Amino acid sequence: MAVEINAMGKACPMPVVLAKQALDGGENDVTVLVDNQIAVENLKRLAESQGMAAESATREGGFAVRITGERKAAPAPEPAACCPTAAGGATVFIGKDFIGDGSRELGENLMKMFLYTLAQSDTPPACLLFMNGGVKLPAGEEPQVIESLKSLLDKGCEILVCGTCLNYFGLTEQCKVGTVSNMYDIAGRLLTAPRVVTV
Amino acid sequence: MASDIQLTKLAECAGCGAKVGAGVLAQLLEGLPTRTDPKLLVGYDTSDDASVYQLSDDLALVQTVDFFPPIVDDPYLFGQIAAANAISDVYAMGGEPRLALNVMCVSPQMDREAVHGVLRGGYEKAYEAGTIITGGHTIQDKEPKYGLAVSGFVHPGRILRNDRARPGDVLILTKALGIGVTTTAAKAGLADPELYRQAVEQMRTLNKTARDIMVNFDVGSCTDVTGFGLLGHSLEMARGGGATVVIESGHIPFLPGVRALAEMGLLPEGMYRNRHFAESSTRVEGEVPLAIQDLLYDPQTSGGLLIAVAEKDAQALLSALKDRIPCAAQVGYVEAKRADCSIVVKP
Repeated sequence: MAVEINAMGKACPMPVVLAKQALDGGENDVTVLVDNQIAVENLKRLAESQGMAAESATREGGFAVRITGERKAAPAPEPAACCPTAAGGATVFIGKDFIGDGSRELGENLMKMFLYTLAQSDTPPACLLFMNGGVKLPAGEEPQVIESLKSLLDKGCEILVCGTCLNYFGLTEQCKVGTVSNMYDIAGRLLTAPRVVTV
Repeated sequence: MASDIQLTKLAECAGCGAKVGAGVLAQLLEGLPTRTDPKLLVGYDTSDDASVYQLSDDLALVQTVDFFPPIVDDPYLFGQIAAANAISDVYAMGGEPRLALNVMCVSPQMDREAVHGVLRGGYEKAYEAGTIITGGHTIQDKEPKYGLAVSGFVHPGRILRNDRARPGDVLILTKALGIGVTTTAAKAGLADPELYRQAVEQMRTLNKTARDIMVNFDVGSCTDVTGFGLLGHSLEMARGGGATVVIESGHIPFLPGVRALAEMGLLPEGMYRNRHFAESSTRVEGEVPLAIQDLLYDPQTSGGLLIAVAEKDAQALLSALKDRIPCAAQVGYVEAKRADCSIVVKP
């Protein structure tokens, strides 16, 4: 059955959206009335992507684009190409540059090993958040720590480093890995993360 | 605290998509009186990202202004994006931003929280860039708008103009394309939440890291990719340098999923404007799908830097960039000027 959609006066992307709704509803002969050439071009692309034909004709005050034919099956969604984020990984909050109490020296070594282990893991964390003394890790001079953090970054782990904390320790220019961030973003990550691990 | 206002509903055009087309702009500026001054190192005659005025042998002032209607609904994020976008022009000149002034239009529908959120986003982003906002100007308007007038500094011998691409240079791009398509799809509720999140993250990311790394290498020319799209800005780079820019579309980073959205026809008006401006100077060699071509014309808001670097330095620059910016990619190169076109797009 043929349907006609009046999309006159509607700005992009509404004509495409209305046409797509009709196609999604099983229609295979859809005419869309639009008042600008851009909508015509966008509707032609929509038809093409669905394996259907489109022809446009002028109508009073604009154009009529008729989309007809057999709709092809929806293509599989394309995989994320750039800047992947590790789905499902934990968010790790790091508020100091050592782990546990007892021996500071042991604690610093444990932190180094902890980051190394994260970097080697098949399921790296989605996000690392550095605050207070923790910022001394991405802004420090320990090559193995920097190496581990860079490797995590490459695996799609997001690294946020508190700018206020860097500033407090006079390390603003020293941050070697990650994005200098703020309380708003860090609090946002903590509140929306499915799982938070505090070290 | 949170404001219920959806900022994008108050504006007809979004972000840099609201920019007047490159061709139209040239016509509008035609015939206006131009004054020369030996100290004016970069003026508006070369349509560069910012103007540069020499103050002393080793110091020049960089000035730019940029503002636009909301591209996202959240006032704080809109402020961050608009500020990152405005400051970017100073980075694109190779400079460091220092002072900024707010440029703001407030619509009657915006409540106090919304206005405050936009300004707070701008202040925090400026602070992250090492820039202080010292004042500004706010007027009433039907549509909200926000941006910054930014002043920065650069060494007069190290200005990175947008029109000095040298044959043999390699082109590097530091952010993924597809912002215009994403925000168009978002208006229709068809943008995947993860895509949208990545687009917003990218828009509010300063080009500071890219600039700070780039200045250590032999860079001939640089611009930031905004309203004119990758090919529009490439055209300015090619024409000024008397060269032809070759874009290898298979190497371009795109935001995930934007190709399917472009195929579906979710393309902003600005894409067609940019195509109209650059298409006659562009030759497509080989099979490049229409959706990919469209994305090369897609207007970006707060896009990445497009850097033309000497071939000898290209790998070192790229690997230094990738350490901090995983998206950075080599997207093409510069050739001697071809008679029939300024841009070549390859698969």
